[in-house]
Amino acid sequence: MGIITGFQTLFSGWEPVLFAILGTAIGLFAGATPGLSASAAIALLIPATYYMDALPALVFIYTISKAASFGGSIPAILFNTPGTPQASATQLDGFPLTQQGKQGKALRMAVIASAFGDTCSELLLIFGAAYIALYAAQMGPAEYTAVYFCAFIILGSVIGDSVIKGLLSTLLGILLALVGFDPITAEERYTFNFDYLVDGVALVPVLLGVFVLSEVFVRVIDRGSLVGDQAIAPKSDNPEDNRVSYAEFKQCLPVMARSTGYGTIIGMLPGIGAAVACFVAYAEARRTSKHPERFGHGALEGVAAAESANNATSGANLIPLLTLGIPGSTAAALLAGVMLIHGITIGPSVFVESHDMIYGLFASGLFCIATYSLLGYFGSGVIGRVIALIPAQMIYPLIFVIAYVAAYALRQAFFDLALMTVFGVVGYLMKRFDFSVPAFVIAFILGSGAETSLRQTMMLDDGGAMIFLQRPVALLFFAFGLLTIVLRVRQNMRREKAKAKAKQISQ
Amino acid sequence: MDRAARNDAIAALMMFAVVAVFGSVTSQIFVDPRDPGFGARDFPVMVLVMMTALALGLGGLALVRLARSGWRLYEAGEAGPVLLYLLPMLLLGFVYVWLLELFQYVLPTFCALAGSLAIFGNRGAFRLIAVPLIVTALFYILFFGVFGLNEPEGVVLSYESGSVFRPLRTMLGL
Repeated sequence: MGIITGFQTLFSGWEPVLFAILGTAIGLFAGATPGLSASAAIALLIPATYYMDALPALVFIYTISKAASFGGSIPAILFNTPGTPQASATQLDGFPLTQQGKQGKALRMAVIASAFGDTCSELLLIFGAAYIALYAAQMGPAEYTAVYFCAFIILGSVIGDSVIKGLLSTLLGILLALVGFDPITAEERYTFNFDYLVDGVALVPVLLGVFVLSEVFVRVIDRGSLVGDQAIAPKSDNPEDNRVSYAEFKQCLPVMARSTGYGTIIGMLPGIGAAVACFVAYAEARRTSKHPERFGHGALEGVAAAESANNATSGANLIPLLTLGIPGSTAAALLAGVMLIHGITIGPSVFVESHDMIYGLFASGLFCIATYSLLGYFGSGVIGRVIALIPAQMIYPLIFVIAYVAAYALRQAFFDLALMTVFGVVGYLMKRFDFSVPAFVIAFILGSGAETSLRQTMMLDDGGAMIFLQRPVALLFFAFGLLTIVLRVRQNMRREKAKAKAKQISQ
Repeated sequence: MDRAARNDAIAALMMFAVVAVFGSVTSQIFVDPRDPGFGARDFPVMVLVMMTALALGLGGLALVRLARSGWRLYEAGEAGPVLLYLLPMLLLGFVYVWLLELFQYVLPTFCALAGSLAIFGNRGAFRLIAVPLIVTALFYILFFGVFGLNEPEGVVLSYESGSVFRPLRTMLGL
């Protein structure tokens, strides 16, 4: 049983356990701080992982992302301000419950649903990923090329409103990955005479730029709308309003189970993200409810649906990363970055080459769920009150300076600081003009692998691209990618038609 | 004004600029004629061609929508926040890097922090002087003391943090 080995590895020293607890606490606060996304918090803390061993580093990053998924629900429920984009669905029923004085009930339901979804997803990861990896290990470069193609198409076409901009974001990420030595012939490409670019564009300045600095630039424009010193509605004196009864839990259980299913499936698809999972699960819970009219006015099932789907994505996100080398989300992409920094191969071979460490990481996931459940169940209100005290106008300037020190920690080179500033501008422009930052970052991480696979495939056979016709698995992935884009374009066209029709009627 | 169409047109132009910059140096990538299959230049060319095609599509559709909306490209007051807050923040970023090269960590960090706090609307001696002082000192101890980073060499002003932290780190066994 790999997971038993995993727990032994996790508890073999003080460092992994300490960083699991620290990561969970930081993740809770980062998720609960509106405007500080989990990706930004992780990007800021990646430089700290240079000074750690591989397992504590991975555990630290993984637990931050897991705990932040739940942490986002705290301000969504207490202040009507989602800490993370996916917590917007929790806000719909969570805040009305707070207005009714039932914030204790809402927060505890959020903890229970998060832990439920997260545990199911983590168990699937623990017991399912290795089997998928067995099949993935048999795939050759042609199949991998098709998998990359499929991932790029899904990344580009599913995230965001515009398919064209999504695909352009993906291509931009791939283009950036081409900077430096060519992976096969070692020819120098796109270095623009900068010695620092010979080994490629460093990942950390890019991450800090597009996730952290760009967020500061976005926020400075809306500085007038920054919230601070928020007041929490008074709590009800009735103890029933501050706990989840067994009857309520039983009522929410089918909703949580279904939502966990949605979250897990959506979480496995690259780049789609937890926000989509939450809204799909929420809409489905409302549609199947006997009392849909209660949704939006403080339905406990609404909180349960959104939170279980949200956290069910966090374990599932790692399945494509560990089996195919394709990150399922931005957090998984950042974890992939840390794995690369520590020389760990991403893909199915990780289960053989780093068996104990990977199961140690899975064990830390379960440990993190238990830790944030305890902290969240008994301390969400306190976390909320602490967050409410921090003036938002002071958070971003602090983040601004931390980003520079963090980027400097990479190679202690000014070039990285300038690079990060440039990518801060790039990230700001991408957000301003509705490009997809997650698609850009994931494509940047995958770009080199995609090129290597394609070129290795072309070397295998004189028939060029005809080799793909002889590979049914590759054809299947190509077909899935094409089908995704066709369906997405059709959906967009229908939406445009409906909009035009509505406009005509209103005129 | 069709703001989305205007933004799409600008986005397409930005993509053309990226393609132009990368395209201008693509011909310099050396290709060994004996290479089987795809050479070092083929994949980048493929990416650039796809980007051009998509940018053409994006720009073309945006131009049609802009023509329908009467070519209005700007709304009064739109540039205000960009010029007042974003531009100073961007400049501060680049100036901070430049100052770090000249004066090491402490002075530029204090100035950058005070400047960014001011741009974000913080006022008063506590927020603009005391907070930057405390935070600069805390970060200095954390990053250069505890994590043991080497401080940047200042061209104009240089002071040795190692003389303070090295014995301390040795004493603590870090």
